[in-house]
Order: sequence, then structure tokens, then C-alpha cells
Amino acid sequence: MSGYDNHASDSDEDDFNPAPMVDEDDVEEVATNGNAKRKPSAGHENDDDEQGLARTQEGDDEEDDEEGAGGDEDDDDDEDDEDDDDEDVVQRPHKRRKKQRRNVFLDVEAEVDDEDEEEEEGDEEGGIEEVHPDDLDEQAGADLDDRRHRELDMKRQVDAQKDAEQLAKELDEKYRRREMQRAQKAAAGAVPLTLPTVNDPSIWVVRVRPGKEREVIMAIMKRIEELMNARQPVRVYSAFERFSSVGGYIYVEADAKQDMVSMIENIPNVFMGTPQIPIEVKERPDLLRKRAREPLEEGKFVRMLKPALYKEDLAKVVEVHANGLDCTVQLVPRLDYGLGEDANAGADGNKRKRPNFGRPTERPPPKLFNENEAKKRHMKFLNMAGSGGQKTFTYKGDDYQNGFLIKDVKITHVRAVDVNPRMEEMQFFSVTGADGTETLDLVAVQAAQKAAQTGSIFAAGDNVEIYDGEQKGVRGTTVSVRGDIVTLKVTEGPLNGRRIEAPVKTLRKLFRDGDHVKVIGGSKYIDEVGLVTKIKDDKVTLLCDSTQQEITVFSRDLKRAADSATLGNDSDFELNDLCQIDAATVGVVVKVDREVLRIIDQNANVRTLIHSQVATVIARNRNAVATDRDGSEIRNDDLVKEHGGEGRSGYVLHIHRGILFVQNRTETENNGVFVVRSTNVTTLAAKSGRTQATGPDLGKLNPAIQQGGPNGTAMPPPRSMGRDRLIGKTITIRKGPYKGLLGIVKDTMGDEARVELHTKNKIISVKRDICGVKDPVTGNTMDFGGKFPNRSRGGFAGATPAYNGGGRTPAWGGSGRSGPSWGTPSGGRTPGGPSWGGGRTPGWGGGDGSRTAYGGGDGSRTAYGGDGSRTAYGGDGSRTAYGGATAYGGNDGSRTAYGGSGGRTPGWGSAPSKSSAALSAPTPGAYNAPTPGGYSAPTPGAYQYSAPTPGPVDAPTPGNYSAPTPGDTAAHPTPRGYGAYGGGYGATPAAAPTPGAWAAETPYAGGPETPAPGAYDEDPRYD
Amino acid sequence: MFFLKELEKTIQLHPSYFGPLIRSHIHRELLTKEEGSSTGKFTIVCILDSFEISDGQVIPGSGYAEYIVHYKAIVWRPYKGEVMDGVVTSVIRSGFFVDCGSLQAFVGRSMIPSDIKFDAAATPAQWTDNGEQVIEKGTNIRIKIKGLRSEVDKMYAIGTMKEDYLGPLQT
Repeated sequence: MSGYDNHASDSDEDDFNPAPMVDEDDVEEVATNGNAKRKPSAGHENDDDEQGLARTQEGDDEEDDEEGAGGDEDDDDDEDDEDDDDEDVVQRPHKRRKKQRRNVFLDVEAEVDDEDEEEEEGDEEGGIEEVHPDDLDEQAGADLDDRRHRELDMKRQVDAQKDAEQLAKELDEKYRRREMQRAQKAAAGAVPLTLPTVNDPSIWVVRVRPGKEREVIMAIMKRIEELMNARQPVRVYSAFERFSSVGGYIYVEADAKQDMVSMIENIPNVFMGTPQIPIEVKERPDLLRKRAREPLEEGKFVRMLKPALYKEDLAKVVEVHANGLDCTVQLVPRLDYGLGEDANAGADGNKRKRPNFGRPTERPPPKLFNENEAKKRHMKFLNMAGSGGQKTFTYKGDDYQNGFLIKDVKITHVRAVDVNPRMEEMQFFSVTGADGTETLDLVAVQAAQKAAQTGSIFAAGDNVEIYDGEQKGVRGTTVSVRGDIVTLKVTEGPLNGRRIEAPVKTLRKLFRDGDHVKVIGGSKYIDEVGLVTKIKDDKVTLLCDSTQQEITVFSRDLKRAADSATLGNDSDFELNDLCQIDAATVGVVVKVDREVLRIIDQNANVRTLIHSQVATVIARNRNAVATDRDGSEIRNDDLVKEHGGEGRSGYVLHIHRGILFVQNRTETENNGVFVVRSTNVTTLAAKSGRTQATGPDLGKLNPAIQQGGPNGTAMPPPRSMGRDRLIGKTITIRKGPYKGLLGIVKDTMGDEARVELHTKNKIISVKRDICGVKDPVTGNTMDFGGKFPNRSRGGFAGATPAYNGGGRTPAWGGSGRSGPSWGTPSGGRTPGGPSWGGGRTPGWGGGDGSRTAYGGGDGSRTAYGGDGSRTAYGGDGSRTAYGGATAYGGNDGSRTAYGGSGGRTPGWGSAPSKSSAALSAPTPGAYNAPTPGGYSAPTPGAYQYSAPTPGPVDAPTPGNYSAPTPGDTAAHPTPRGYGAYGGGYGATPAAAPTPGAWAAETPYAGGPETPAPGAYDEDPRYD
Repeated sequence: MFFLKELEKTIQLHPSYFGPLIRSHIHRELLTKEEGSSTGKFTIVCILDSFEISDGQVIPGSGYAEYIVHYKAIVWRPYKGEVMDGVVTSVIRSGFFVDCGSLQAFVGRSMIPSDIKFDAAATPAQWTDNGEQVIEKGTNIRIKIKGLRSEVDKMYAIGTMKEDYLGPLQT
């Protein structure tokens, strides 16, 4: 079992430290040497030897398995043997002396083999005897082991005592075996090794604690050693572990299960509870087969397996070390810079605390190393080296470069297959290198991904050519593909029309110049479509439809394309879309790929972005307009030419805030798209001109009969500001399914009103023009200022609207109730009635034919009636201006609303009555006080406006009224005030008559304008 | 190659056009929409004057009238192997583009005789043999069509000038 001893010295496995073993062994040996009178029996020796051979054979196999741990080194030993043999033949004598301090284990094996050689040579060295005492002397050194030497010596002595015949036989047997072995070994290169048979010892698989496989193997080795020392038979041939992703197994080779069990029992970390399963004969070779490992290359991406912190993280191989066992990887560190630590724990507190035993800890997210973060709390752990762009940090024993963690790992701790890097992960690597030289080729990575995904390369109907094998040169079209066999129908040559089968690997696709093809795999150009421009062997050059660039791909990656290219049709983005990249950046898509977009942004930078990095597509704004350097309008699709610069020209794709994205199809760079400022181009041809030339579109309304000006529709009615007066009103619905229902307007939106129906608890939307405003109490229809919704407009038209605008109307409406009363002469009475005497009323009646007359003349008039009281103001001349207001009445029926205000009139009436008493001069004063009270603040404003307007506009209308009125007033002196009234009434405006009535006032009447100032003058008073 | 081809087109007319000028409306529509258009297979070069307009049929539901117009037109259809003249529109390192009427053709580097080299230093960039053959933007050139691709309303071609009598035309 010396093989196992040797293992220690030859081992290059890191976690196995040979030194202690040696010492231990030595100590042990020394101890056993004390009673070294063990007599190795020949039988034992044979047994031993046999096992050794078996193991050697295994060792051979394991040579293939680079990680084979168990008996791995036996084989090396063999080779060492041979070396040593040669060496020893020549210089053994000194060497023996010289190398006494050499590692025992190597020597031992050499000795054992030497024995044969020496025996063969038959030269019994006297030196041996000499050496022996030397060795004994050396024993004091206690770090030599010459037990074996002595065993050898003893064996020789035994052999020497054997008779020559027996010796010859033994040797013969021995060498025959060795010859066989040699032959096997020689053949191993080409011919498979001798495969195990049922007669060979079985191999059991033993479950051990994952990660402890090697420890168990070492423990077995030690046990074997002990057995040997105890001169007990070792019945196990080999024990080994395999490096594999599924850990937790070792394999033990023995003749009987009991042998195996006795060897492994009571070894820590062996799960004896799990039954040990013998491995079937035909599966045994697989145990030692070296798995084809994806070769690691620099720059390749791998997945981490080992440090749990980085498990499954993406890493990039920086360097593969020469020993083939280690590599340096670059990965994105997961650091928390001490944020997760207990700040109160002492320096060694962390050690004592068990870090979340058994619980999966939250890993910090992968993030590039941040110097400042590290400095915050872990300054003491941070060292900096290097300078300039290449700063290297050492933080907690790890190196960080450019933000990446640079780590040496075993190649078994990374996985090179199934890497499938995701775009998010790749992004970290894409920023490598501040100078940008090492920037990752996203596209290349993506190609790698794609390539892995593509399936069968031949589809029925492909034109193919057999380019290898007996049928080389045969051309045809594929009929079907089954696995690796393609059935093709020959289209040329003597076999024409025949169907033959050919393996995929002898076929290549056949294309001709000018064929329209699509790249279906194998390269980064996947999904590109283009026309074949050149064919050389199986390399095809094509001109891409989308980019107008020539690319070269293998013909096997091509397929005949349908007529048009749809690239990345599963993307949200299309070529030439305008996209929002971030709040301040927009760009135009110049290339769509399955994973990435190429976008030229407003600063003319071309970026490669993954789809998720692009916020939205900005819909093309048809109305977008910009001005060129001459101030002409630029719209989409206009032909523009850059002024200065390269003088490029093209059609405007998008206009974004004075930036134009222009496309010129004859350019190939960036799909012909370039970016210019709108002030830097001149318009060459506007598209609008062209559309004009083509004549009208027969699918649309004939423009010749289209009504309205160039703007199409008339200006929309102006909107009122502020709270809609309709809100809160009780209305009935005049039309539609809800016709006749009563409700309250809750809200209005544009021309719609949200009405809460009285009948059911429901809010519906109806057009506001089908709402009839009702008095909530009486249910009477009220006129609503709907037709003059706009105060300002009213202001211009005359004061009337101003009244409405004043919000008065409703108020008046409210008082409309009094209207009726007023309608009854009583109303009239109220104001003037008593005070003016019947004459008044009649006066009205006479003049206007009663109330009705008012109604007839104008509802508004009625209001004026009310206003008549105003007229009292008129008394002070400014009133006259009012009269002007009266004119409103004349203006429209809308005034009717005033009818409502008629109600008011009484109120005024009372006032006027007073005023009348006070007479005109005082009246104003008297009025001033009440008026404001009666009128809300806005009213005066209304007056102000009204004053001038009426003058010119309404002069005639009032005239009608005024004519009688004044008459009335004139008739009565009293009414004088009233006269003013009357004048104010209708007539105020009717300047002509009024003056008549008012001799004194004439000046006022004289100029409608005049009153205006007057009115203004008064305004303060009103205010 | 040019052909005389009988074609038909369906024209829909908004009711507002119904009137005495209806025929001229249709005629104008036909000319503006069809002449110069490409179907992907051929380009309509010229519509001949004799055309007949079917009786209009009002489409139920919309009030539009539909007229089927039969007409003859001279059409142009490029063929693989055809030699044609065109004007160079763009010169790039990998070749140059040629407009042959409505057909856009590309002549790749491999389709250019090897003695004609790309000269990026010249303004404008050109392909030249440093002799009398100069291919730059605007050059009249004779090429042969090697491959054709048609999209719905446009045709594209790959051309070659690597044969006798092909190449820039002397003007």
C-alpha cells in the first residue's frame, strides 16, 4: 500500500498538506521500528504486490481523470519508478547516501522497484549492508524512515535463502505480469484500456458528506497504512472520489462488500446509513472517464459555483493559470462595506458571532466597487495601489480593479457551460475600461446567446450541395430532415430526380449571387436579411437590406428569405421610432435587434441599449413644426439640407424641440439617420407642396364644396371662466331618453353636464344645451344666461350681459318671483305706483302697453323697468348712461332675464320713490347708498362698461322706448325724476328725447359718450 | 424591359365629386396615383389615353361610388441578367448604389473589376482605376442585374459590372 504513501508527496492538491502526514508517518514509523522485527512473509508480500498492481492499473485509468484523487499518483509513481530505475542503475550508491534526507516516500517506491532490477542484474550491492548501519545511525535524526529499506534488506535475505529455481519462477511470473502491463500501457494511447469484467473487483459508491470526499479518502489511506503497519491484509484495492457537480460520493474498490465496509466504517463523514451500491460493470469505466470540460478561455464568461456569496454570478475569465487548475476571474463584487455589521461589536466580536448559521443570508446586491463607500467604515481594510486610470484597491484581502473584484478561483469553482448571461448582468461588464477600449461588445455576447438557441439548420426546400464524401458535388433540394440525416432530391447531374440521403455534416447550403437570404444562426448577424453578393466556398457575402452593409457568414447559417425582412418583430420598437431614453434624452432607433436597440440620440451619439432601458416610443407628432435658418417652416417629411458642415440632406423623420432627425437613405451609417439643429438647415422642398400638386383626394369630401374658411369651422364659442353657473341649478332634460326628468347639475365638463336626477339616485351626463333651467320651487322655466355665457362678451355688447355676467341674472331670476307680482301692476306699483301715482303705472301701461308691452318689447325691458329705478340714477345724469344700459334691453331678448329683474324693480321702486321725493339731485346721493347695497359689487362695473357702449349702439332702440316714456315723464313733473327714469328706461340712450325731458340734462344726453365719463365719475360713488 | 400591359384599377369616389366633372376627376386620379408607381414586379411608366371607366356602383353603407378603370400602360420590369443604364447615387467602401429608373441597384465590391479601387480620399469618394474609369456620385453607368428583390412598392437589385462593356459610360 505504499502507493498511498506516495500520494502525499506527489500530491499537488492544495487542500492536502503533505507535511504533517510525513511527520506523522515518520513518527509512527519510528515508533514501529522499535519493534521492527516484523517478518514479512512472502505470501503477504505477494498479496501486497498484487494489490499494488491492481491499483497501478487503476492509477492508469485515473490518469485520464485529472481530478482523480485516490490512487492517482500510483501511476506517477510508476513513471517515477522508471526514471529512478535508470537513474539508480547509474548512480545509486552515492545517491543513496546523498539522498538520505530525501522524501521517504519517493525513495520507497523506488526501492521496491529497484529490487526487481537489482535482482535481475543479480548484482547484490555490498553497499546495502553498509548502508544499513548508516541508516541506523541516522535513526537519531528521527525524520528519516528506513523501515522500508530494512524490509527490503530482510526480503533480500529471505530471497537469498530461496533456491534459485524458485527464484527464477517468481521472477518469471513477476515479469510476465509487468510485460503485460507495459503492453497495456503502450496500447492505452490508441486502444481503450482493458475494460473491467465481472471477475474484477467491484466498485461501491459510498455516500459521504458533500465537500468531505477528500478527507474521507485521506482517512482511508491512513487506515490502509495502519493496516499495513499492523501487517494485516488490506482488502481494498482503491478508493477515489470524482470531481463533479454532484458531490458527496466516493468510490471504493474491493472484492467483497464486507472488505469495503470494514475499510470505511467509523470514518467520520461517511454516511453508513445509506446503503453502498455496487456499480455495474459496464458503468465502471465511466467513473474514470474524464468529462469533456468546456475549455476556459480568457475573456470568456462563466458562472461562479463556489464562494457562496457569488454563487451563480456572472464572471469574466481574466486569466487561466498555467497549472490548468486555477483561473483569475473578474466579477462584480457583492459588498456591503460593513453596513451589515454590528457597529458595537468589537473587532473580534465578529468572529465570535456565528454568521447566520443555517440561515441563508441576504447577499448584498452586485455593485461595482466603490472607493468612497469602502472608506466610510472600512478605511482600515482598504489599501490603494496603482495610479491613474488603473487604480487597484485591496479591500479585506481582495483585489479590486475598475470596480471589479479580481479573484483567483479554481476552475472547478466556475462553470463554463450554460452561462446564458443576461443583459442586466452584462451591463456591468460593458463599462469596463475608462478609456472605453475594453468596452464589451454587447452584440457579440448576444450573438453567443443566440447561437446557442438555434436549432436545426436545414429546412425542407433548401438548395444544398454535398461537399464531402463519395457523393461530393451532388446538388439538390432538401425534402426532409430527420435527426442528422437529410433526404434530398437531386436536381442536377446523372442522379437527377433521385432521392438520396446524406448526413448533415457533408451538406452545405447552396446559394447563388443575388439570392435573397436571411441569416438564421451562428453569427451576430442573426436575422439579417440581404442579397447575396459573393460566394466563396461556404462563405457567403450578403448586402443587408436594413443596413446596406456587406456581411460575410457561413452558408449553413443562411436560408432563403421571404421577400421582405421583418426584423425583431417581437419588439416594441421599430426602426426610425423616436424614443424617450430618459427625461432629457430622446433618440431615433437605427437598429432593432432582439436584445438591443441602437439609438442615435439628440446629441448624435449612437448608443446601444437594451429594450428595457428605453422608456417609451414617442408617437410621431404630425403637427410638429420647426423653423429653418431662413425662418421657413419645416415639417415632417420635408427635404432639408444641412447648412455648412457636411451639407448632408435628407427627409425629416422627427422634429424634437428644434432638433431634427433627418434620414438620408443613401447613407449607410446609422441607417442614414443624422441629427441636426433646425436652425442649421435649409428647407429644400416641403412635402405639403407636393400633396397640393396631386389634386384633391377623391376619397374625401370635395374641398370645393367644403364650407367655411380655410380654418374649416368657425371659432368655437368662448368658454366662461370660473365656476360654471349651471352647477347647482335645477334643470329638466329636454331631449333624449331622460327627457322630462328633473335633476340638479352637479358638475359640468365642456358642453356636458353631470346631472343628479331627482327620480333616481343616479348621476348622468347630458349635453348642457338640452338642460332647461327650472326654478327649484315653482318649477317654472327660467331663462338662463346660457346664450350669453360670457361676461366679457356681454360687456362689449352692452351692459346687459354685464348684468348677466354679474351673476345677477340668477339672483334676479330668483327674484323673478317678484316679477310676476310686478307683472301685476302691483310690481309697477311698488316702485312707482304709489309714489308716482297711477299715472306712473298707466304710464307704463300706456307707453309700453303694460307689462306685456315690456315683455313684448323685450323681456329685458322689463328688467329695465326695474332699471328704471336706475334711471333714477339717471337723474344725476350719469344715469343717462344708464339709460344707455337700458339700451341693452333693446339689445336682446336675453334681456328677458331682466324680466326677472323686474322683480327687482320693486325694490328699486322703493328706492326711487324715495329718490323721487328727494328729487333728482339728492336722488343720486340717496341712491348711491342703497344701490350698491342692492347691487352687488360687480354691478357698478357693469355700469361702467355699459355706459359708453349703449350710447352708440343702442341709441335707436331706446328711442322707441324713450319716445313714449319721456312723454310720460314729461307729462308729469313729478316723474321728472321718473322722466329720468323713463329715459333711463328705454330711453336714456335715446338721448334725443331724454334731453328733451331734461332740459338741464341735455348735455348728458347730448353725448352718449359723455355719460360715460359721467358714469365713470360716478362710479366711485357706486363703489 | 418595357411592356404594354392592360391593367385595371378600382377608384372610389366621394359623393361630393358626383357631377359633370366626374370623368376628369377619375382620369386625374388615375394619372396621379398610378403613373410612376411600382407594384413590386414592375413600374408603370406611362398610362395610355384610351381607358374605359365602368359604370359606377354605389357602395352600400358609405355612399361612395366605385369605378373600375381599365387602362393600358407602358410598364417596365427588370429581369435578372438584364443590362441597364443608371446613375450612381451613392458611393461607399463596399460598393456603390445605382438608380436605374425606379430600381435601386447595388454593385458590391466583388462585382467590380479588381482594377477599379475605392478611393476614399477623393471628393466625392469614388471607385476608380486611376485611368478614365471613374465612378462617383452622378456617374452614368451600365450594369447587369444579378439578383432582384421586390418589396410591396419598391424593387431592389444586385448588379455587376464585371463583364465586358459594363461600367461607366462616356459622356
